[in-house]
Amino acid sequence: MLELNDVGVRFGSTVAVADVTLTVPEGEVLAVLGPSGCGKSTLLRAIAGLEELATGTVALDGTDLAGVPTHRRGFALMFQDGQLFRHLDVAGNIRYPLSLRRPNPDRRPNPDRARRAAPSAVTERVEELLETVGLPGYGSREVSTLSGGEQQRVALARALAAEPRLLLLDEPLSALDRSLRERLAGDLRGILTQTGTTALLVTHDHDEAFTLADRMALMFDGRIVQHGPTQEVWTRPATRQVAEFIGFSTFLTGDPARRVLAATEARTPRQAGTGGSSADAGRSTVDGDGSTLALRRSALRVDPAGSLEGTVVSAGAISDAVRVELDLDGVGVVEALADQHATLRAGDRCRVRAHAVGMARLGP
Amino acid sequence: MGRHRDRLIPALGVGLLALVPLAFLAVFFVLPVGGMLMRGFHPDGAWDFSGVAEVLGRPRTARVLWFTVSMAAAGTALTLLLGLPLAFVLYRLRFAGRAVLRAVVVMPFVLPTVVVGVMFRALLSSGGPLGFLGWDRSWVAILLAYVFFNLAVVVRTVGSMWEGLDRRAEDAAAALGASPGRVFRTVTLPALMPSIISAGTLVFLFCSTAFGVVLTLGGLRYGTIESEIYLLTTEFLDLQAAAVLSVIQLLAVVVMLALAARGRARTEQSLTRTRGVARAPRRADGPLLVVAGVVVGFILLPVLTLVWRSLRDGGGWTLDNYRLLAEPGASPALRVSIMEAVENSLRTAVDATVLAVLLGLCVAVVVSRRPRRAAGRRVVSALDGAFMLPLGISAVTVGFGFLITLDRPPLDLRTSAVLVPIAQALVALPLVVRTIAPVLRSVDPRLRQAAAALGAGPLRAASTAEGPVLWRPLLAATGFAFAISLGEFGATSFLSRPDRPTVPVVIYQLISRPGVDNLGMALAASVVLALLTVTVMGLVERLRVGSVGAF
Repeated sequence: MLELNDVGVRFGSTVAVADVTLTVPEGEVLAVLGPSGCGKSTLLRAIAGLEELATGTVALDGTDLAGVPTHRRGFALMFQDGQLFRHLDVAGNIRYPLSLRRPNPDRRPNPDRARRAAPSAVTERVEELLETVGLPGYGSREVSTLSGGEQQRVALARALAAEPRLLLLDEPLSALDRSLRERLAGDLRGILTQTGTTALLVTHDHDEAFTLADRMALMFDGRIVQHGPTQEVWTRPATRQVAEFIGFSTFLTGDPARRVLAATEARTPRQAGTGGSSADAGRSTVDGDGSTLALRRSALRVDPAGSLEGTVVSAGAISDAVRVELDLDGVGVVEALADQHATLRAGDRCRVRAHAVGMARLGP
Repeated sequence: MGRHRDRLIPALGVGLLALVPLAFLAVFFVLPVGGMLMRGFHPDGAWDFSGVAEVLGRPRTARVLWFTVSMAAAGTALTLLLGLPLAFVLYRLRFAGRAVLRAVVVMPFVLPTVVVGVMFRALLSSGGPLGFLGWDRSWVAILLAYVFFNLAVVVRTVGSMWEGLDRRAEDAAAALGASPGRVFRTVTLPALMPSIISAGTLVFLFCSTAFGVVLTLGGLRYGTIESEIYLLTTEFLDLQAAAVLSVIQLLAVVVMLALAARGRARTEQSLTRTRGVARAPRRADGPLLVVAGVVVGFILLPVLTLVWRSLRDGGGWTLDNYRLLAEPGASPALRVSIMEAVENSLRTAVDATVLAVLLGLCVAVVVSRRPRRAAGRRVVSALDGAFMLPLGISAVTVGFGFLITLDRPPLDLRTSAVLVPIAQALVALPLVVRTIAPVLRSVDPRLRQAAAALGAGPLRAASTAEGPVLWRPLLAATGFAFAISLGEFGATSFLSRPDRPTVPVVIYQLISRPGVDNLGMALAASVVLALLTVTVMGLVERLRVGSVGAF
């Protein structure tokens, strides 16, 4: 289990990271999500021992890591562009950690490690890892001949070869194009679960965080503003800043908020694992106390059976739906979705249905 | 028709542009060097290679070759050993005063070789701070001067590579369990290897063709190939032996550059370059900081000693040495006052600079074209190589070649004052090209294509795309050529007339004569010359052209 307690990092007089207290239970994946420049990569480097802490402690399984140099921590790092060693081939890269003997007294003895000296065992292990990441037989390939996705897979195999006590991932999929990113994210999640690897991921992409992580922490300006199980953060953002960052696009207060809530279906499909629809909670409290109703665009769908009505301001196709900007009567301008085949033009009138999934109530 | 013309005119223009420097190279390089070699191998109207074996068989030749190679190897190894920690400290760490230290480290490289020689004499001769070591006029002094002179090459070449090296590869290795030493060996070193090979080759080249330093520090006791060629031609008039050694040197240089290019190509990785990876020093950097401090001290010591001794007279402080600079009859060794020599030097340097920069610009424009046809590309790369040749041939050979070939009509320049600037321009030309061409090559050709697509003619398109980036390297090359010309000694020592010597020549004349006044004046003149070149190069440095002196 990784425990961060009051971690802070400074560069000269600039505070890059402050007051970070987080835990990652063994075998779980934590995503630190934040905009670029928020200090998340610095936090990652500090955990790896590459930056000195100004305050606080980093502890693994109850042992404070202060003074333990990076190479003795038993971690592995994976970057968005792989950072494979260009002068080695694929197998050479994966073999790299296998050829390093690292004193790791608190590790369970592992048959693979005991056999490390035998070259055939190493070769076997490399091939095994290549199969794990879906690149069997790639051992003799030059790194420069690999595509971006393949490089990331090799980087993952190299990191797994170290059997890290903690895997640190710095935007592991951000450099890849969209379809590849989605596929690799699924694979990566599968591999992390299957190998029981404890991992900490930093990213600015909320989808990446949502797919990969069990828990999520949001970081702005060097501070963690919210953390908890991924599902919980996803449905109950603590602040408007968090809500905007994880994809809520419309924010309503007062009468408009009440009107949308009133139109929200009483029986809505609930997402598994949440305590209850946040709209339920919102309905009772949104009145009068100045709180805000946050909507993802999926919360409002153009539907002839809907009870809200509005005028189309603009509409544009996105990959699997039509994104509509609507001036909703008595509510104002909101974002909504329509079915892919919908033909909407500016000025058209249409009806809209509100769904509790995709709504969240923010405190004042 | 029109399309045809549009293609033909630029090609013709580039061709014409290449003709001028080619003609210059033919008359002032191929002809003199060829003349010198003919004198050696074709003495009495018939080819005669019998001397080759004889010259090579001489014990003295073997000694000179051994001294040249072993000293150059030792100098290269030592320079790399001391230069790498310094490169790390100056390019990977961030601390107050780093810019000043970088300037200090670069300074020796721009100092004239004769001045470096005088510095080490001042340091190591009796009366100098390190006189008790007894290293004056020994091979140790030459070795130290090699290292002093070339540290800048290693620090700049390797440092600029190191500066842009993505530290995340090292981080990844460290996280995987590699100790700092192992990270350096398995990740950093392979990535730096091309630049280390480049720098090492260059240092070896500079060490093995050293002339001014060897002559001022070793006198006639030690000889490199270059100083031996000088001796053979001026003292013994053994032109055949000199020709043999010239050819050996040329071959060695060409082979070395080719090997280096191959080594570089083999170790080159497609590296991701980043910016701003320098970090504040940590406790673990302590040992490297100490090494770097010692090396900087080693650089400053001879410099400060030179200034200090130029201001000392017996037991007290004095400006006499500087006062003597203006006096015409101050030393029996000289026919003119040193101030007059300074004036000569400056005037010569202006001429040489104008010549070198004009020709260099032509060459750079030509060799930075990328013709579509393979044949065209081969021509361009052949031209590129041809203008590097003056680097490989001994400046002494060029100087002497001038004297024996340009002494009769239609080109009787023997008594003309233009020979010195021409020779100096020839020496500076490759470096001018190497400063300008990389910048021109770095301009994305699509920029020119975009301009052309918008309706700009070939010339207009070229000036739109390349004009704005050109002035910095052009200014830098101008300063660089000026500094080189000011300090040039090899060819100038042959060509300058006794009544119009340049400063390096005067300094050499002064220190090769005994006498306290002579040494004092040499010290003062060295300070003046050093100040001049350092000022010029300081201005160049401010232009921040990455490719100054790059190969």
